[in-house]
Amino acid sequence: MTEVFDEIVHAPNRLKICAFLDAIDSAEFSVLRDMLGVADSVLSKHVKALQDAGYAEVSKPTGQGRVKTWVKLTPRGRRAYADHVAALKRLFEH
Amino acid sequence: MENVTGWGSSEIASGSEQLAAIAQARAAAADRLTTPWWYHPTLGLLCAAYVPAVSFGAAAWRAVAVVLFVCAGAALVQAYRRQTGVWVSGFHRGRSRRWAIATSLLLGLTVAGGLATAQLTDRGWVVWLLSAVAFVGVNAFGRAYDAALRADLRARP
Repeated sequence: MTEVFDEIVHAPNRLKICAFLDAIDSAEFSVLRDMLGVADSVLSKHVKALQDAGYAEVSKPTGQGRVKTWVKLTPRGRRAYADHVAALKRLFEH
Repeated sequence: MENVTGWGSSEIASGSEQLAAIAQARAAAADRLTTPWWYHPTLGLLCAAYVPAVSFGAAAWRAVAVVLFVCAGAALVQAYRRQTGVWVSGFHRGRSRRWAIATSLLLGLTVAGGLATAQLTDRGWVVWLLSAVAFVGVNAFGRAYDAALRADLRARP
């Protein structure tokens, strides 16, 4: 079973981040933090893991007053998440 | 312990928790997607102004109108992002996509109709009527899009 699940996406908080970002296109860091109910440092760690895997992109648009961090899934991240969800669904097909 | 599919009972329980977590995150996204009250009216006004702007006047003025429309649209998107902390492309998959396509078609048809009317006839009032249609349509379709998107997100992943 484990070979069909994506180990990066599998972690509960990262799965929620992926599900949230897949549902929309991009979200500000504080929105993700509030959704998970975790500290900034915890979210940073998970976002970094997704970034390192090439699953998420982080941007800090300037020129809008205070700089905010925005996170979005890459096409590779969307595919990995979709494959993970497909594997989950297969689990309940029989 | 494994069932006939080869999955262990602990794996199935974990899978069930994962699907629940996904549903929870998508519901949170749906809750977050509350469009500011000013978004659709402002977008409607932009589209309503765009129709006569490209219908009447010389080619140079039309080019200016296109640039102004794109810049104003981009500023509106930035204002939405700043207020909500999220952004959704209008052409996300699901039922909401139909409303995004319908809105694009509405704008395209009202602009094309206005341009053709202004160039080929002297019935300027038709252009203003199409402008009003664009305003009402963008507002109505925008709200339908929001409702469909929230329903899509709350549906199964």
